[in-house]
Amino acid sequence: MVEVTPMDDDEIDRAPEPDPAIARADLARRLLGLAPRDELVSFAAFTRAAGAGRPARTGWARLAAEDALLAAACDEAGIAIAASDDDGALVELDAPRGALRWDGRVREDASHHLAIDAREAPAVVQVVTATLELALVVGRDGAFGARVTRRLDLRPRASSRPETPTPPDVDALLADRDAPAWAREAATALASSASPLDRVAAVGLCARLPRLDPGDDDDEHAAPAAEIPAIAVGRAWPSGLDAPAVARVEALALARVDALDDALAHFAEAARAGALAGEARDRAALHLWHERDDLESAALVLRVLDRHELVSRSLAALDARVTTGDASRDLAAAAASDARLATLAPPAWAALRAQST
Amino acid sequence: VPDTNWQLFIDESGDFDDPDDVVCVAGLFVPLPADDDLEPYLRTRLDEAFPLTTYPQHAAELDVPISRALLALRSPRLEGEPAAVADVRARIAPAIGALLGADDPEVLTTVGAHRVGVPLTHDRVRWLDIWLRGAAPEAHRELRAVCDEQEEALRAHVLGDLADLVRRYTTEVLPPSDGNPLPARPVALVAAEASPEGAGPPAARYLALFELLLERVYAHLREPGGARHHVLVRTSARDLRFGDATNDHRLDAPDVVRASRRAAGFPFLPAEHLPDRRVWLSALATESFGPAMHPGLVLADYVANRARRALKSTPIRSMPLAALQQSIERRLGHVDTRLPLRARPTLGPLPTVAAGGLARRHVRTCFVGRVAPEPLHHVPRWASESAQAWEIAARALAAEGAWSR
Repeated sequence: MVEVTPMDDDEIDRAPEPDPAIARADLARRLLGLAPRDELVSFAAFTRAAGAGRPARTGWARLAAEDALLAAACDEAGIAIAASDDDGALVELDAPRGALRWDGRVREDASHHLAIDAREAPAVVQVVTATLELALVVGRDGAFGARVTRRLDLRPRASSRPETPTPPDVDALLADRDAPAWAREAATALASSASPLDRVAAVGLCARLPRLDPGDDDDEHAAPAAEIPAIAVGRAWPSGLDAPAVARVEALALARVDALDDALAHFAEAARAGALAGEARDRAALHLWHERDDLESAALVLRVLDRHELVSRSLAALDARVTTGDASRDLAAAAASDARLATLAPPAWAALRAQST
Repeated sequence: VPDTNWQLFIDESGDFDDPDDVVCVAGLFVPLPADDDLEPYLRTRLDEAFPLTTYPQHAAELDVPISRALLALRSPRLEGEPAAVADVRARIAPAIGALLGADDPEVLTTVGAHRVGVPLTHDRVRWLDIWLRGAAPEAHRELRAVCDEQEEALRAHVLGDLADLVRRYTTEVLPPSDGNPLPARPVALVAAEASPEGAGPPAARYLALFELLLERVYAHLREPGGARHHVLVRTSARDLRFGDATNDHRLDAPDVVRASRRAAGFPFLPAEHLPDRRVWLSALATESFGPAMHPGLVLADYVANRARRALKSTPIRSMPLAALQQSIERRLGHVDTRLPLRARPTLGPLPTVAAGGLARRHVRTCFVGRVAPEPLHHVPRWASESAQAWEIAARALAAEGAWSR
């Protein structure tokens, strides 16, 4: 709370007319500089309204409260404020007129002046901007209270979209692979997808294919068979993925495993209820298998990047449900003659095949 | 010391009517003041992340790729449609074409009903999704890619932006902390049944987890002699079925207040129902799923959905707590599942993933400190480790007399 000494008319008239936003801001800053912190300064326009019942001018004002020093300059277009916050730091803002809010005891006249009538009860004027909230309370005795609060800036910030990994070069990846038509087609479809997960899966798929000449590379020749696809991935592509990109791929893979889990459960229900039968059921089952196999390919790349643990664990849980679930027979039947599954043998397929034999 | 304002958005996931289902109550907990502008801000972010969908977006629905085609079917092209939206529409078009040109009369009937506004059941939507996989695999693959893109947008541009708001608020708006900083990211609070317990009616299962979640909020925030915390609680409404039709009702603010009062005594049990002037929970009217709901609850739905996924994704009994937390955090991105006690940050962050039943009773007993807690036999590993982390903190605080009144 501060006591207020009205400024005289000459002082008011000497104040320059703020016009553009820059002038408003300059004036506010200058007014603030006129008075040292903690010194009583005047708040002319509002005081005169409260005291004499005359319309107040919104031209400019300055005041010191207990913990805030503030100056404001207003015109038809906006209001500029320079203020010290609770820590003594200078806060400057230039807000549109819409930032001004007031209660029923304050009204705006045709000249855009605020008239404050605080004779019977306190009146409140607020300036609310994206980053600052200023509340002025005009009391019946002409006293003022002011509070300046910083606000969270909720204006949207330009955030850059995460970069999608470059589509892998399928031809290059398949150059030394024994790639039948289905493999080339599947890898090309995955590589051309907009999804980073699919692009990663394309690399993994190519790496899982058998080599044309297994003996032409010393590294792979010396490595255990299970490691050969990982070596191929490492050589081919994923070194270009940065840590955030890898995290995104992992998150997408987890979401896909979850969604596939749901889809398999519903496939089982639909098949059991006869809502899906015959060729339609087999086609859907094969699609589910291929989606499962895409995740196997993505998991391989994540393994090379040392980020596969969660995805592999989730896939293992999914496979356990597939092999023991109601739909296992339908799924096995649909997959029996598929060349892709026979070549790549994702774990659930292999387990079902082992069961059936 | 100034008061600290928090917002807590609560939803649940799982079928509480199914005694064997994995269920959880989850909250998105952020140190942000109640600001009228936060709602439109988050709403805009969600609408940007999910073009051609209808607000509020539902996590379970969005997990089904065909939902994009069905929602787009009822979202007419507008004059001046942004290029990004038009692009999504074009990518969805083959799936819509497959639905409208289906040779299966049941598909045509279902889609026709949907187009004129007949709501489809979740099972029906899933059936269409399975059908499309077989009928038009390439179209389904493109839907899946759209889903991936939107999943990324939700993580990066909604939760990521919310995390940025929290960081800026706690570091730029609030005065510098005295060595006890507020979290710089949103926190996911998860209260889950340690195993399908199946005991009691669905409402009792839900309310037990709901109270557990609030109990931990009190425990995390209490600062004897320190700052006061004000938590604004928004909760998604749900039907509470007690197995007794005269008591069955829709969850509303009085239920939240009752749960809050029961939790308020924690950790000074058994002195329950005593007011706590250091942590204030204000419960707003619960909100049904609909266009007027707060977008924070849409995010809470997502958090609950993903937390339950994490709980279901592996053999849950042997999963270490750290793995479960990692699984939740990596599914969501930009959230933490650990939060220090305001009273003693030096004890380190405590898990915000909590288990009901025996694990909960164990922790409560440790805080009271008068009797030995029940041993954590037959409790899943993650639940046991969470309870043990709280036990250590409770014993340390009890030894210091830190939380005596």
